[in-house]
Amino acid sequence: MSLLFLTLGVALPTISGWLLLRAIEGTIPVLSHLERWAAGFIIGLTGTMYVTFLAHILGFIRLDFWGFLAVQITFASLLAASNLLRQRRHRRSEPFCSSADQHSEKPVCTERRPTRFGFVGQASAARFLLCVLLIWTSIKIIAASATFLLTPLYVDDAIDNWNMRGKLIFHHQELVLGFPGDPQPTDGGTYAYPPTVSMTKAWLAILADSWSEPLVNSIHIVWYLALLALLFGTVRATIGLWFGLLGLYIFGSLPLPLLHATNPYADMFLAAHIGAAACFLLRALRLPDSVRSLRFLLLASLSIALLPFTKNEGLVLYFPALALALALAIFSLARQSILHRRDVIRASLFMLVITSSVLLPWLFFKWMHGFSFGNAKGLPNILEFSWNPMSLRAIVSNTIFEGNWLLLFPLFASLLLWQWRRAFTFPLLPLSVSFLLAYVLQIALFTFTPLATEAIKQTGYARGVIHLIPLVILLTVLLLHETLQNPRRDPHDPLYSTPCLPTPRSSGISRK
Amino acid sequence: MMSLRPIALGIILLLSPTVSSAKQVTVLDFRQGIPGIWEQGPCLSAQQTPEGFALAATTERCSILHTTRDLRHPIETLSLTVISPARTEIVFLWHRRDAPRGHMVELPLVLQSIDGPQTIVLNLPRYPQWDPTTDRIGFALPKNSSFILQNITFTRWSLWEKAAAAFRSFWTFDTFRPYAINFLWGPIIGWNPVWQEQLFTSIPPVGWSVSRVFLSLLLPLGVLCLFFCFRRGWKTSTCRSASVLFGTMFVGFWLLFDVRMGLELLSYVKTDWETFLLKPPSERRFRVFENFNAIAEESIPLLITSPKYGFVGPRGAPFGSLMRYFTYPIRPLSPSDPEEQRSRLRHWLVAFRDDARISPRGELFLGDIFLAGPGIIVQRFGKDAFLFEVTGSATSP
Repeated sequence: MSLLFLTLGVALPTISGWLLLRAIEGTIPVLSHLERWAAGFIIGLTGTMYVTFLAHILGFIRLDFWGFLAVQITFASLLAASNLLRQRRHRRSEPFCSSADQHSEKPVCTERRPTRFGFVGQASAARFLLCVLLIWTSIKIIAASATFLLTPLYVDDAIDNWNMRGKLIFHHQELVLGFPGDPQPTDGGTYAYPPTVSMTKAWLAILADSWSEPLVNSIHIVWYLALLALLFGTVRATIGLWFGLLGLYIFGSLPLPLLHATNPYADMFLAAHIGAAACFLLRALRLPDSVRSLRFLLLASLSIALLPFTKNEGLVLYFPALALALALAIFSLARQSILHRRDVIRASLFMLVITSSVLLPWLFFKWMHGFSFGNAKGLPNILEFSWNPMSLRAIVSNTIFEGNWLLLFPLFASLLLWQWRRAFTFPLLPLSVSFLLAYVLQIALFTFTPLATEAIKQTGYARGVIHLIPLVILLTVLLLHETLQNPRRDPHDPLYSTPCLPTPRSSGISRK
Repeated sequence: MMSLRPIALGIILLLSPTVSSAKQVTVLDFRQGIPGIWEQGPCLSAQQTPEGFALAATTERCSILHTTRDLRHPIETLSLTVISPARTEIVFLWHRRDAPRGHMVELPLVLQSIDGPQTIVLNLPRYPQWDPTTDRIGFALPKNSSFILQNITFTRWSLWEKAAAAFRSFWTFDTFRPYAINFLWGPIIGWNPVWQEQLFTSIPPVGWSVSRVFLSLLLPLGVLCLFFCFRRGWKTSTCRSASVLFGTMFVGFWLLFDVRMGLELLSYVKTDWETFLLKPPSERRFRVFENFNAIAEESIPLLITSPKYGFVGPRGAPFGSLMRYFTYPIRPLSPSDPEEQRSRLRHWLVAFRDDARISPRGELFLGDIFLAGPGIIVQRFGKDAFLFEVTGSATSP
């Protein structure tokens, strides 16, 4: 029964997300079906909840069945109408070509490169092993998910924060900014966090007309699966099916992310948004084709714009890091003349508009209620200086010596060093820079501020790593691919650059 | 093709010392007499009885020391069998041979109040201060305490047993505790069977992280691999073989780690099914919450008959928050809420508090704090958990 209400509950937001992505893609679909549905779910659900939040605080709706439904129907209908109009207009018009295509003699490139999986002669054994490992990973995911859905709430933040706030919305049918009857914390406490996760839970419960634990918790697994699907889709489109599956296995094998997928914390939810932004950025940079690159940049802008409405860290930590990555991507594509000035202006304007439409209302709302901007502590407390060498020890232990991430970080660090030239040049530079920026900032916060206790007690650090895991997985798989393809490739080797297959100019509008 | 005989011979020669290093056990049994030399402080009463060595300190903290110079082997684990009629906190003492005479290291031990003998097993290598060849050990008893020492067993484990314990400890899993959402200890190596058994009983667990072992093997191999490739050239077969060896080893360690951690996660699943999901509601145990969920489930129908109810749970546990979450919008009050509000409550749920009691007048007290009453226990869920209903008008004593 829970699964039925879950399907019903996410259907309209996912369709809205799908339509939104399709609208941004325009006349040229750049995403595979899998990517569009996965990203459609991630972006659509958050986007829908954001619009619902806006409509609610502006006094248009209550957070009841009809309020949620009205927003979802309106949002989906508008997007559907826009898609229909676009399709009709497109049928009448000439094939669409961007300014870059019209002026460039550069052949349109395909993204996919021939891949060789494993060492010569051992490819089939490696593929067989990978299939076995994927089955093993699926067993773990299924077993952990089933148990999660059948067992009671266990972890603190779910009891006090995510589920409790959802239950308050469910009962009061409005956004509740403090526990009724309790003294209100001056900085808002957990009520200063974006309400997306809690609103989603409330919506599912409203749909079922009862607060059902399996139902309201099931959404966390869907975020995880959507992220897995999106990462797989991106790696598959970039370097091929088998590396896509390898990425899927690496991510699925990590114990701590799997525990987060099967417990009602919001960190995997935030990771899904960061993952979507990273995937789209990577795709934009791997395509020396202005039309598709621009589409991916716009999709990345949308994902980045929603970050402030995910968790407080999304606003203060990951939004700036990924916005910088986006700026770097635009700069790089413009410098290579892949994007022309018109495209750059278009991408920048879109980013500005879409970001402002999420960021400004949310900041205004927080400011109006005197809410803090930090996560475990408010920003003023975080900015106090205090040196804690113990936290570095705890960070190293959590990252390398415990069972949280298997051997991912030694592998990732080795690949970053080994393939540093590849990692710190385009197309991977924006991803590497945004990862390092966010990660170093976290380490600095945990080492030089009162947040050190979060690292020493290991209550906060690993969650920050979970947020960045999609970036780490993407970079690891791509750098591993580079290493296996040719461990010591000359960067001036023509094979080093993305292979371009000359195609007719009309390919810009071809459909699969 | 190279013969395997020299390799096998080499392995046998390498392993031969482990065969000769057998387990060594020394038992001091105090029921037959007092073995060895024991020096007691003047304030300590020590007497040999048929039950064992009866030790008592009445006026002040006293100690008793034993010389272990005659022991023919290093001490790795120590097992004490004692009889303690009351809960007693004693101190186990030892002298490091590099420390000044009289300077003893102290390890507090708790003897539970149990009828009959109880055994305490100490994995001593887990304490960095431990000296396996210590020349003196002893006990310190606080004022007004006593216990009977039945025997002490000193053990040194053989290399085979240590290796087997290390292997078993790799496959020893933690249970799903609330901290698991932030970190999982992962595989940890304990170097003797006692260590392996006690691996996750103390937080943080003491032992070698297996990642440390993996990385200690991978790092030199990686450096060697680089060395060969730089020296012989990147396209030579030596470089290729070294790379394949390194890659295979890395993949092997990853897979081993994955299987180990995957099985730990599946062990959580198995435990949940065995202790919670497949049990009848009243017998359910849920991870560290024990039977709290069963208690809450049985109590909630009665608790939500009033707009508010009282709840007392153990300090530091999230049970108050859980009750608030379960019964919202009906909310619990705690003993720290104003008495005026508490006095209006009709029901109190007490969970895992052995300091909660019902007075002869039927009033509910938490320690010395009056909570409610007079009333009756409607349902009992064990010796320290019950549901209390106020039957008469509340009167503060």
